[in-house]
Amino acid sequence: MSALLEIDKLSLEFRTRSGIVRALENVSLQLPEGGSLGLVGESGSGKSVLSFAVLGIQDAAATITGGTIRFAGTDLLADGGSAMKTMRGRELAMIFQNPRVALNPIRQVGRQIEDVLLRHTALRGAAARARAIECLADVRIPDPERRYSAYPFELSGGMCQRVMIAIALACKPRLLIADEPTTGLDVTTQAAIMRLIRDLGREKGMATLLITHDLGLARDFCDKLAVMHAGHIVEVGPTETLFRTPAHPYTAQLVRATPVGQERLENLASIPGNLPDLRRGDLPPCRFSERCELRSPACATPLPNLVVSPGHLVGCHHPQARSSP
Amino acid sequence: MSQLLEAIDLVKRFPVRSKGRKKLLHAVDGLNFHIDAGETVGLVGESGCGKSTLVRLLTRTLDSTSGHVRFRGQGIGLIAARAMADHPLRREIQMVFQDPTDSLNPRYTARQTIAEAVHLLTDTRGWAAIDSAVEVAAAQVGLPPELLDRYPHQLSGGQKARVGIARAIVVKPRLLVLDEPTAALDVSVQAVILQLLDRLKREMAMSFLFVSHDLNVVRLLCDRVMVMYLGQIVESGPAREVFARPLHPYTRALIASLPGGHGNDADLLVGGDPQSPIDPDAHRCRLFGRCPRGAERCQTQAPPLREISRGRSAACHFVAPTEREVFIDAALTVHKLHLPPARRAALTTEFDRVADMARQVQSVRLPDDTAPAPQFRP
Amino acid sequence: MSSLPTTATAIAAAFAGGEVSAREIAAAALERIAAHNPALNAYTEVTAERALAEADALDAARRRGEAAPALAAVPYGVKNLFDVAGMTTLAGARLLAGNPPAAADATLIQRMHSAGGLLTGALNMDALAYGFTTENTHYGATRNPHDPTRTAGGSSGGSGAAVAAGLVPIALGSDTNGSIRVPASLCGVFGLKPTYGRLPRSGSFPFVHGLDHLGPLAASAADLALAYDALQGPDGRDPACAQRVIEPTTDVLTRGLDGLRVARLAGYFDDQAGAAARAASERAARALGSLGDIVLPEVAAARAAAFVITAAEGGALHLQALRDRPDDFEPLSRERLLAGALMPALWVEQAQKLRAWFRRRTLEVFRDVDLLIAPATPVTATLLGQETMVINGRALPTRPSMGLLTQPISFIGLPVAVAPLWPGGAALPIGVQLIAAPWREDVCLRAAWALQSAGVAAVPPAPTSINAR
Repeated sequence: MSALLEIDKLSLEFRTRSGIVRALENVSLQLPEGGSLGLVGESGSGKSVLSFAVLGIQDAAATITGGTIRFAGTDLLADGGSAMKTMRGRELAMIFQNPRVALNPIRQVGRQIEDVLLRHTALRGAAARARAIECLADVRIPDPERRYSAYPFELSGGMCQRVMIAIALACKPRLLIADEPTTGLDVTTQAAIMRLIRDLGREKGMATLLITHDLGLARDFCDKLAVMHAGHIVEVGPTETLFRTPAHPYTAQLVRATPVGQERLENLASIPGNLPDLRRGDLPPCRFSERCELRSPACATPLPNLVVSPGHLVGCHHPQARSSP
Repeated sequence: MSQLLEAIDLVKRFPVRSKGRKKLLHAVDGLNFHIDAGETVGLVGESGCGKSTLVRLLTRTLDSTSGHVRFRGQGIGLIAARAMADHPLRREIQMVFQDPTDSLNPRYTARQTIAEAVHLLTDTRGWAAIDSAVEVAAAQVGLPPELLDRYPHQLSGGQKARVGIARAIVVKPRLLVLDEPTAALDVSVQAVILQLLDRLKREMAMSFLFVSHDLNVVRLLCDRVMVMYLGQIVESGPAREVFARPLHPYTRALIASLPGGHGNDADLLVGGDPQSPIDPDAHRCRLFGRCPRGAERCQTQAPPLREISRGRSAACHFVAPTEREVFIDAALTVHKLHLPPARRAALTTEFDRVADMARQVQSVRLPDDTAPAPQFRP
Repeated sequence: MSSLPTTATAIAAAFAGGEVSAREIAAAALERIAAHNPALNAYTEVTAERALAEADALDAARRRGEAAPALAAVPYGVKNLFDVAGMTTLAGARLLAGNPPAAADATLIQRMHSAGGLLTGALNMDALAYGFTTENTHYGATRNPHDPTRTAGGSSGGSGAAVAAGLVPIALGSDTNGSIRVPASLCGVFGLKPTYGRLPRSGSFPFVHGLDHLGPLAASAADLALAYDALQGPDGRDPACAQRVIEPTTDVLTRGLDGLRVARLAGYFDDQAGAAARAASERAARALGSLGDIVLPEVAAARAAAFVITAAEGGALHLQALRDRPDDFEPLSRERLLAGALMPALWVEQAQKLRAWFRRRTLEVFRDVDLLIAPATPVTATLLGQETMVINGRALPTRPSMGLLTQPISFIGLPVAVAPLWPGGAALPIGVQLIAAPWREDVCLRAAWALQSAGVAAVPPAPTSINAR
C-alpha cells in the first residue's frame, strides 16, 4: 500500500539575524490513507514547523534544503509548491489551537464554511448554503440552521473548534492536520472534540496527523506515533509499542514523565538539560546525546536508522530492547 | 491534624447586566471546606467553575458576598481586600501563579523579585539579611546562585517556575495556593517541579491548595481533592480514592475525559451547554442537562453535598455508582446474561430510575408494625 | 345506513325491538374498520368471520323468539392480550408471535359473547403492556383519532382509538398502572378500571399479578355501565378474583350524585398536572359539587413503589425470554424489564410495605367522602416519538410519566372511571379520574353519567378527520 503522505529526508532551515536555525533535519514519515499518526514532542521540537512545511505555509526566512514531500503520489514541493497550493484546503486541511483566532470574528460561521466551498467546489447559492449547514451538522453542532448565522463570539471554545473542523472538512479532505486542536479547552470539551475528530476520520476514511505535546492524547487517538526532538524524528512506531517498549532513551523518558498511569510522584521522570540551540554550528549527529545518560563515543558518528520491529524505527546507537518499568 | 483554614458558607456573587436587567453571577455558591495543617488539597474544575474566584477570596484579593473564612481560628473574611495588604496574616498565605512569564516582572532580576517579597512582607531589613534570605530560598528551590541575576527572558520555563516558587516560600508561609503551577511547562520539566513542591511542603511544614484541571497530577501530589462545578463543590475525598472510584457523575466525566485511557465513554458529559451561572435555579442540580444520569428528581431537588462514606462526600442523588455497577454486573452474571455495551448503558439508566424510585419509597418513615402487602386485597 | 344506531345501549335496544339485524350492525362495523383502521392502526387483527357468525347466530335466535341479551348485536374489540380462540395471543409482543393459537376465549370474552357482543378483532397495545403511548416498534404506533400525529395513549391504545374513532362502541382493555385510563383520557372516551379482583383475568396475558386489572372503554357512561355489568361475576380460575355476586350498575346509573360527598385531590395531583389537566379536574369538581380539596400523604412515594413492583414482577415474568430472545423484545421497555429483574428483593418488600400503609391511609379518606376527583393524565396527547414532556416547567420523560396520576390509584386497587373533558373547547381531550372506595364502581359510574348528562364530559361524534375519509 502506498502512503498518502510521504515525507522523505526533509530538511528545513530558518535564516535569522543570529544565525541559521536547523529546524528540521532528515525527517522521514509515512501516513497511509485513512491512518492516524501522532507527532509528539515538547515545545521547540519542530513538530509544528513540519506540519507547516507540509501545508506550504511558512515564513520567508524558511528554506527547504533537502528532501521531498509527496501527497497521493504528487510532489508537493515541485514547481515552487504549486501543487501544494491547489491541494491545500481541498485535499489537505488543517485545524489549529485557538480556533477563535483562526475564525473571522465578523463573519457568520456558516458563511465562513461557504467561503471554502466557493473557493474549492462548484457549489453556489442555496446548494452551498445547504452543504454548509450539513457540514455543521456533521460536526454534531446542535441546531445547525440557527448556528449557521452565529458569529464566533457567540459560541463557546468547543463550538468554535467544531466550526473549524467543519471548515476543514467541508471539501472532504483526504488528510487532516490537527495542530494541538484542544490546547486551551477544558478536558471534558477536549474529550468531545478528539472523539469527534476520530469518528469523522473513520466515517470519511480521512487520514489524520495529530500534533500534540500530550502523549496521553496521542495514545488515545493515534495508530502510530512519531517522536520529535530538536528537529529530528527520533522514533516511529505503533502507538502501544512505543508506550510499552520505547527504544529511544528520549521516548522512554517522555513516557515516564507523563503522569498518566503513574502511581507515585517519585517515579515521575524529568528529563535533565534543555534542547540544544539549533543555531549551533557544532550540533552533534544525535541532538539528544548531550542530555542522554547512555551517551558514548559512538553518538558522535552518523545516526543509524534501526528497525526494531516491523514499522518500529529508531535513530539511536543505543536503543533499549525493553523499556524500564 | 488541626484546621489551618476553614471556609463556611462562602459566597461570591458578581452583579451583571443581562438584557438590561440586573442579575447576579454566582461564582462561588456556598462553599464549606477546610484545609488541615500540612495537608495538600487539590481543587479541580474547568474554566468558569469558580476556582479562580475562590483563590482570590482565600488570598484576600477579593471580598466575599457572604460567609466566613477562618485562618488559624481567626476570621479573615471580614478583613477588606485592601486592608489585607498590610495585615500580618498576608505573609502566611502565599500564591504561586500559573504562567511564570506573566507573573514575573520583566524588569526585575530573579534576585530582585524574591527580595521584594522579603521586603514587603517580613521584618527583615538590611541588604545583607535580605540577600541571605533570597539565597537560602533559591537553594531550597534548586535555583543555582549564578542565575539569580538574570532577567526572566534569560531563564527557561522551569527556571522561571522556580523563581515564582522561591518568591512565595521566602516569607515562610503556612499555606501556599498554587494556581496550575505546571500548566505552562513541558512534561519533561513538570515532574521535577512537582517533586520540588512536594519536598518543600514536607520540609517547611506548609499546607497546599493546589488548583488544577489535571486530575492525573492532583492524584500524584494531593492528599485530598475537591471537585468544583459551577460554583459548588460536587465531590471531595482522598485524591487516590476519588480517582479510583469517583462518586459524582461530573468527576466520572472528568476522569473519562482524561487522555490516557481511563474510564469509559458512557461517563462522558452529554450534549448541551453548561447551565448559566447567572441566577441559577436553586432547586436544580447544576449538572442537569449535561449529566449522563440526569433524572426527574435532579430538576426539582438540587442534591446537597453530603458525606457518603468516611471522608468522602458528593452532591448527587445517584452516588455510590460503582457499587451499583458492581451490583448490576454481579446480577447479570448470576442470571447468565451478556449485554452489548449500548444495552449495558441503557440498563444502567433504567436501573438508576428504579433505584431512584426505591429511594423515594425508602424516604417515607413507616410505622414499625407496617406489614408488607404481598397478598394484596382491596 | 346513517340511521343505524351507534351506541351500545341504542344498538341493543334497536336489536331487541327488531329495528335492525345483528348482521347489519356487524357489517357496518366491519366496513368502518376497513375504511379507517389503515390510518389509525388500532386493530392488529380483524375477526370479520367471527363477528358475522356471532351476528347470524343472534339473528337466528331472535327468529326463534329468544329474548335478546343485554349487549345484543353490540360490536366490540379487545386488546390483543385477551385470548381469542384460534388466535395467537400477542400481548403486543413479537416475542409471543410464535406461540400456538389460544384454545379458548378469555373469560371476559366468553361473557361478552353470552351477552350478545360481536367480536370484531384484536387491538394494538404497548408491548407486554409496558408503556403509556402504544408506540409499538414491531406492530406500529396507534394514532390518535383526534390528531394522527399524536399518540393514542397506552397501553390499551388500540382500544381507546377504536372507540374514539367510532369503529366500535365498546372495547376491552387492561390497566396495571393506568393502561385503560391513559388512553381513555388521551382519546376522549369513557373508561372503567374496576376494583382489583372484581373482573376475572383468566385467559389474558399477565403483567403484574398484584396490579393487573381488566375493564371496558366505551363511547358513553351508559355503555360503560352496560359492558361492566355484563363482565361481572366470580371466577374460579383467577385466584385474585373476588367471590362477589353481580352488583348491577345500569339501574342506579341515572340516580345522580344525591347523597354522595365529593372532594378533589390536590397536592401531588395538582403538582404533577399541567394546566389543562388541572382545569379539567377543577371543572369536574365544580360540576359535581365538590366539598373541597383533599391531600393524600406520600403519593409520590406510592407512585414510586408502584413503579418498583411493576418493574420487579414484569422483569421476573420475562427473565427467561430476556436471556434467550432479547431481540424479540420491544427496545423501548426491554432494559426497564431487565433492571426490574435484577433489583434487590428488599426494594420490592419496602414497596409492598408502603403499599399496605398507603392503602390504609387512603381508605380513611372514604369515611368522609364517597368520590375523589383527579386528572387522569398530566397533559393531553403527546406527539408520536416525543421523548420528553413539560409539566409545570419540568421536563419529564414521556413514556413513563404519562401514568404519574393513574399509578398511585391502581396501586391500591380502588375503582376508577374516567370521563373525557374538553377544557375550553380544546381540540384535544383530557380525562378526569372519578375514584371511589373499593367495590363502589357504582359511585364512579354515577359520577361519570352525571358529568356526561351535565354536558361537562362528552364523547363527540367520531372526529371529522376520520369521517371525512
